[in-house]
Amino acid sequence: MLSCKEVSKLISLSQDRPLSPWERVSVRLHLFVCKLCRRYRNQLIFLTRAVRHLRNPPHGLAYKLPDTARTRMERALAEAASRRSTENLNG
Amino acid sequence: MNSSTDPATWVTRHGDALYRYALMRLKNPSLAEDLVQETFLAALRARDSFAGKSKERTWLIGILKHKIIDHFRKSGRLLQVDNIEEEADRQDASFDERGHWNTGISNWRRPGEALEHAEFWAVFADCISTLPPHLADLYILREVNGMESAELCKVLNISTTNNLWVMLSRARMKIRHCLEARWFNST
Repeated sequence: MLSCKEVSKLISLSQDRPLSPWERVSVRLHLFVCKLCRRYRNQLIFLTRAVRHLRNPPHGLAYKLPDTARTRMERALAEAASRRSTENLNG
Repeated sequence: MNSSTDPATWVTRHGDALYRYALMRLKNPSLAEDLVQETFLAALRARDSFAGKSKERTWLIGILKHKIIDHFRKSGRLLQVDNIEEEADRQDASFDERGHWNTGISNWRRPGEALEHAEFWAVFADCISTLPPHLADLYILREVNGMESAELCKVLNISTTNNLWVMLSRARMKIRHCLEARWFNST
């Protein structure tokens, strides 16, 4: 029988690579008798589902580019663009 | 020249989206701004190679993605962490010497509802930032950027995927613990 420590690693591992049949059976056997590890598994599944929301900004987090940065970038782009066109003319 | 790639309109049309993308992955506003600006400048230089095959936004995000990965690579704080992690794993306080849970695992009631609260996301971001820096980088690249294990090891110079997986396991465990303490047990 695997320990909780080993099982916790396999639960995490199952999110990064498929478990072998033997690993799957061992985890399932352990989860059958261990309430804490069952909770751990469910919470890790929840965690991964939640963090994937951050790929697209979640509800209530509509970050905007600050105005100062916006102005700075527009200026930098315009300068670089004009430098390029001068170079092209001279080149 | 395709008129949709007029650089003068980039900041207005894509600035917010790129900034959000960078911020979600870097957790550092001024660094996020810098990388977005670098992205625009790099895009300007590479404009002729933009064949209009993808959407302009997708093209810009692609450039930004590389800038972010470059940043993690250059920060170099992931080098030589393998041994530190092995040591940390041996002394993991979450388990007793026989590998049983030392800390309790609470029963989270209706975790899905947390996703609706802006405060939950603030706590989540905070929990990520309490990780040791190398674990935070790793976790963000894996979960938010969705990088695969082999690519991650290459970019971050981790010797074996096995070490990567051990570190990911530790990162997830720490974040779980932090969320439990700061959200699920405190509401």
